[in-house]
Amino acid sequence: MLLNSVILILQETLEAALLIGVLLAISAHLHSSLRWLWYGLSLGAIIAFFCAINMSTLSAWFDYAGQEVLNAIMQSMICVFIIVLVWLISSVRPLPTAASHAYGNRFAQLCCLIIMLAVIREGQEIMLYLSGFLGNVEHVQKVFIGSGIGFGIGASVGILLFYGLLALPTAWQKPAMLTLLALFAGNMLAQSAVQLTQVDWIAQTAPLWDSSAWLAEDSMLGELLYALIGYESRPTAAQMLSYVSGISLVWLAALGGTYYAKQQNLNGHSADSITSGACVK
Amino acid sequence: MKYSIIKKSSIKPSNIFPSSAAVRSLVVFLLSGLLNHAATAATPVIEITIKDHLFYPAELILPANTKIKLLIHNSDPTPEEFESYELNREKVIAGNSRAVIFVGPLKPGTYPFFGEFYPKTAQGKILVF
Repeated sequence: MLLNSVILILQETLEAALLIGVLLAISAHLHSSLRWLWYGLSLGAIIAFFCAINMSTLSAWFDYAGQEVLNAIMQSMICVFIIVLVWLISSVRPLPTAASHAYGNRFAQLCCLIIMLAVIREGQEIMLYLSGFLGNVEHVQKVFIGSGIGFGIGASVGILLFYGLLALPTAWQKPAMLTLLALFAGNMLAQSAVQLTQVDWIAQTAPLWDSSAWLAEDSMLGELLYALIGYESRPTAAQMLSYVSGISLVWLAALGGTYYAKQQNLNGHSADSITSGACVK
Repeated sequence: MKYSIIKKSSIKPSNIFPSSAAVRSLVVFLLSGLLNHAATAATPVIEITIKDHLFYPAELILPANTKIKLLIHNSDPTPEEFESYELNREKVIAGNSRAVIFVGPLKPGTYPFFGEFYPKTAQGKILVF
């Protein structure tokens, strides 16, 4: 029971932890205040709690497709917010310091929404899981200790990613962060396609390939790659199409934002931008 | 009841493209908006019950290339998560409630599934012929 709890909570925590790691690294560059993290985490936890206690009602919505539809909406929204965030950090050149409040606020709001959605999705599952053991004298201790360990490992991986990103050579940092954000966005959109396939809103098709013999999804590396880049050993066409769309849209937002910033610079409208020594190029 | 058997002849095929190739599945996906609605009515339903963290039946025999609607009753007071890597399915089911999961069309083979919250006991598989 202990090991099972460790693995289950780790799986659920990893995705949000990695996302938080990347957003924190960007935030560190912008010298943004970290209020968004606490707002995002607590709002997410509160909403997740209400979703968890009403799970059977929510699930019955849309002819028992409620859970999947809500998940798909939240995942798509995470993707959209990541796209807007990438546009925001690409379109301001050079990046302002915390002195630019309007910019910092918009950045913080987007991060808060992304974290909130990620926490709702994973948090409700964790809460439901733990609630099942509350009255279980035999297992409750093991389950909560295991969950604590799983949560700790997940959080550590996120922190490791955060420091890893900041330890990269400066020229690599922005490409690395954008690449990770693009992969997250693709992953989220692909997962929403899976959710909708599960309730037959998107037709199930044969998997495009099966790489489970080389790298099983339930292996340690498979789980990590699932959380990081959305690794799936048997993806369908809908998943691939969503994945590629998510990545492309983030890439377009980065390109578009950069182009917009250049135009603004050429037109001389960016004189009021404050240059930061530590900013992303 | 240990086995639930559906004869293929008793089911109307719901997928008009028996596809395995990547290109075909992409076409099916793109057309799915049109096809799905019409196909839903013909989808056979199989019921699974979760009781004392066990699946009843624990083994389902299904025909190949057919879409099936799984109706899962969780009659335990505790939540369970139906999960299968092979089927690419994952769904939390609250205690004392029902859930619907569509599987297939599937190629012949064995597709294990398990309850992620109680994986030691909640194990099952779908055999597709």
